[in-house]
Amino acid sequence: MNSLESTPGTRSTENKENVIKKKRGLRMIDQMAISLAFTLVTGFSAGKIAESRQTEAKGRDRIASKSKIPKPKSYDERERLLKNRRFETETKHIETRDGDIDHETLRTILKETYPIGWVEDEIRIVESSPKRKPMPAKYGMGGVALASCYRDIDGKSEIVFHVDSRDESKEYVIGTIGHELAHANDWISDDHLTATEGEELRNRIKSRLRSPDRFLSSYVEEINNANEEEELETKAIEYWAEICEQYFDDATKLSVEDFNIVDGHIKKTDRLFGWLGAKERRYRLAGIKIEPPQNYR
Amino acid sequence: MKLEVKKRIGESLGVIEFDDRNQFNFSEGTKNSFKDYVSQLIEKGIDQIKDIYDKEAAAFTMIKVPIHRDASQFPLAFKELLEREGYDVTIIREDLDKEILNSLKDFPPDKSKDNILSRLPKMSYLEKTYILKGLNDLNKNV
Repeated sequence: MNSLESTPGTRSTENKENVIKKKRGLRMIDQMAISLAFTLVTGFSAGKIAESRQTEAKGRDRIASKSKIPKPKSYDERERLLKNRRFETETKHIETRDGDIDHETLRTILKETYPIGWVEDEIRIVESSPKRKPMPAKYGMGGVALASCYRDIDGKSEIVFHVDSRDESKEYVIGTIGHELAHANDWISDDHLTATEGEELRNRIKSRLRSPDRFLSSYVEEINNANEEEELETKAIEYWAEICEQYFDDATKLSVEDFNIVDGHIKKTDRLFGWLGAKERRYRLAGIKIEPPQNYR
Repeated sequence: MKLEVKKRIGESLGVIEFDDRNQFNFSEGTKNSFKDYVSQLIEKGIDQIKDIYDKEAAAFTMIKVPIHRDASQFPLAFKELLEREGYDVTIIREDLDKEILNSLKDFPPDKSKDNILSRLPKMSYLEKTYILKGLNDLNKNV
């Protein structure tokens, strides 16, 4: 045993120091949690939560390297930019059981309520189809196809709501758009990611799949494949889409690890994006009633 | 699995608890009309949404398929159905609260500790996981 450790006086000093360290640490956690609560009320996060400054600095370098993406310096400037920028994603009206979302409203939703860089550079069109889409027999699944996200050769995606989605709610359509946008902005499709950044994102998601505090999705949980690598990759792709959909709907239901992954990715192209304000505006535009839910009497 | 269900404005409708065999119970205070609604939904059978990737078509397709009552993912699929119907559903993770309380035991009495303890019941999942991560990091380093 080290002679210092055996001295009672030293042990008592160490204990006192530990108590002080613990109190200081706890105070910091408490204060950060209060500021996090502010983040959750406003939807604006001032940066990744509980991650190193070094990582944040790297993130800023990456933003600076994306000359293609406009970088508003204030929320007002961002608002003006969202409204006035060129926006080439095409939209068609979508029918739901709660009424239509017309193409202009859908365009505004896409243009103004999702992060800069997530729609215009990645999505060619969001539309509905009057046709029923049969699922290829090889998947051995019956069921009804509701929506598809096709990847074009040039890297842009096309989101199509099939005829059977007309029986679904507006919430379903909005949730699905968030989910499919995530596919169009993952490590395979996102034009704003370098190969290294894409690999980093993929690995971070893969590391979350077995974590006890992971996001629970009925589909992701049951994905299985005889090929372990393929299973892991499919799970990761869907997990990413699920946590992004959840972030756009209610980020407070994510664990801090998942929140940081999605928020960090979004902040690379849109530092001032606030999920809560965006969600409220999206719901207002789509005409989703705040209460009561449709089927509850 | 325990699910707390609210209207969007925040009024709680109740808590549904599924056991290992997917039998469900409601907590005390759950509204009768909501109990009826849930029971009818489950009796009628529910669907699950899956997102299938077709390599040849380079397309993800979301499909809606019935989920068997005995399926292990039934409670989660039911949660997702309620969300699509416009409810605010939260998975109650009591184990997380226990972990936080357990970690806090090692900390001396303090105002910050009291703050965390008093806020804990109303904290979101994001806040709770943030606090737990902070406590674990702190315990490792002290």
